[in-house]
Amino acid sequence: MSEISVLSEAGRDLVVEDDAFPSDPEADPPREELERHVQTLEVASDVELDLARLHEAVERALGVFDTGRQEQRTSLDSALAPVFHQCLDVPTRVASHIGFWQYLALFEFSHLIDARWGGRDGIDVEEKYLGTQKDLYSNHVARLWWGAELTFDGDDYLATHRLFERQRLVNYVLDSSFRRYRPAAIAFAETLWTEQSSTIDAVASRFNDSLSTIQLETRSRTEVRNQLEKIREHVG
Amino acid sequence: MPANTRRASAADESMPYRYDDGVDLGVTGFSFDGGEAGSPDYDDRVLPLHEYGPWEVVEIDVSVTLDPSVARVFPDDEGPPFPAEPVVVVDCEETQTRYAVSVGDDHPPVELETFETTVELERDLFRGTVRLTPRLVRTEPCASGLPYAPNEGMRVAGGGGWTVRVDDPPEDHDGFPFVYRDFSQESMPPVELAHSLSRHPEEKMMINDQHEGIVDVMQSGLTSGFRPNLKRFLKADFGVMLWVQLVLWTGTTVAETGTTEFDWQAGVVQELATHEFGDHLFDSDADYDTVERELGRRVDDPSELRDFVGDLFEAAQLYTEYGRQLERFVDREAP
Repeated sequence: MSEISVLSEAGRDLVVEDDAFPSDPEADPPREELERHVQTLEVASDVELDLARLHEAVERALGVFDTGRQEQRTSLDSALAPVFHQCLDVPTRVASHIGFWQYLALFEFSHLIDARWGGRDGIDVEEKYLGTQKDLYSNHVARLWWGAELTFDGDDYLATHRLFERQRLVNYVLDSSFRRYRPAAIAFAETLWTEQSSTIDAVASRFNDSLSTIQLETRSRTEVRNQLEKIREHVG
Repeated sequence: MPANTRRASAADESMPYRYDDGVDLGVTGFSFDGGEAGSPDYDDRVLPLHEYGPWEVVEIDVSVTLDPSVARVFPDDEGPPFPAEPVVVVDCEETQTRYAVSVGDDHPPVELETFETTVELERDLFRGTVRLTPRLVRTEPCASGLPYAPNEGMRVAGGGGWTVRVDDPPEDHDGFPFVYRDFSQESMPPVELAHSLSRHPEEKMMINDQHEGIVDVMQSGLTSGFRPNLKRFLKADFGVMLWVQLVLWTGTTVAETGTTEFDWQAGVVQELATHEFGDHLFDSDADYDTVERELGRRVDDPSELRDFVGDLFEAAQLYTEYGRQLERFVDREAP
């Protein structure tokens, strides 16, 4: 039996209705008011959160990567996603609580989210703190963790690194329904991580079309890769 | 075909090749952690795991039956046995988990018969609802071309699935049963779960924490917006139900024994005697003893009870401002 902290729906509303945060870059999350809306949830699963190591890794990464440049922001994600996955050792049953990710985003990693997403035109920063469980690319902490969860292979995070190196790729995979079949998510990252957005879009569109007849869950990672490579040759 | 399965007979016309709906998934039983067995809901094809105690692993015994009609999705020279494999697809949207479980050991090729296997689900990996869906999938390319599925990996037949409920679905809550507790009990819910259903802050009623969504609404600290508006309406709604119960229970006790039995019942009589709540039911000048006596009389007399219940509902609605809160909610939250 373990305990996790989760933000309640009312807490989420407080953030939505806050006049300053996060639209004002100088404003912090209204943590004092939010404290009343943090619930402690007992979960039957074993949960281990190594927040000290995670904070250390985040500070180190923020010192290395220049978040003013797009390619370095994606590299920041690529570097941190495996660390978030390792340090937040929770089963998927626990990870399916969006309030868990909202709590971490607002109370532990708001400075990371501000550095990664703040002040960018066309970015809905609020969803990077809140998000929903259906949109895995929205809440930033959930995005990093789930991106790694769906693409790691034992102790190997190579596909995770590749997935996060291209923002178009990670957004597409996390927005797809095939993400739930891990060999497909890994094959997608392995095959398309060097491609331009236009190629990723074209391959993804044809791959999705094929899923109306292919029973994806019976295909191995290699078979999915072969299929994606054939599609890439065709659209190229 | 096992008696516990059902299937549709219509072919899937959305597929670009021959497809058959003759794959049936049956559940023969399930058990928790190698011990206690559960009972499937055969009518709705549901495994209500949430109705059982804590568990870590559930083993679900399933059968997959391939109807003779499935033969039409293969060219005549391909079988039986046919180059295909029956599987059960396990899919849980909430925990982002999807995979296939092979059915039987010796496939492909496959005969059109019934196969049995066990699907094992680890609780830590699932939440909410898990879907189990049977499929028959080609394992070799088909040289005959259309109307037959040309490629391996294509599903050529399927059928109705089963729903595994790992957690209690929120829409299945059966109302808000009231529980009466002594305020001095240590097991009382914490103070943050106490919500005033009276217009007077010293009298509190509890919304229990079995309904997290409702508690969350009741804890909303805002003054405007959907949740605060819903909170005001819910307080009035719960308040009417609760006051009717409390007054009738108190009245019954007074009718039976001549006086109240518990402190909370004395509190109800006091509320009726000193606030406008009681004005709709008794003389507005009536003191505590008069209200207590009249309450017992009106509840005890069958000819009075029908009118009294009507008056009581009206009084509770007026007292909780039920109509005003409902109108306000509709006015502010209507699309």
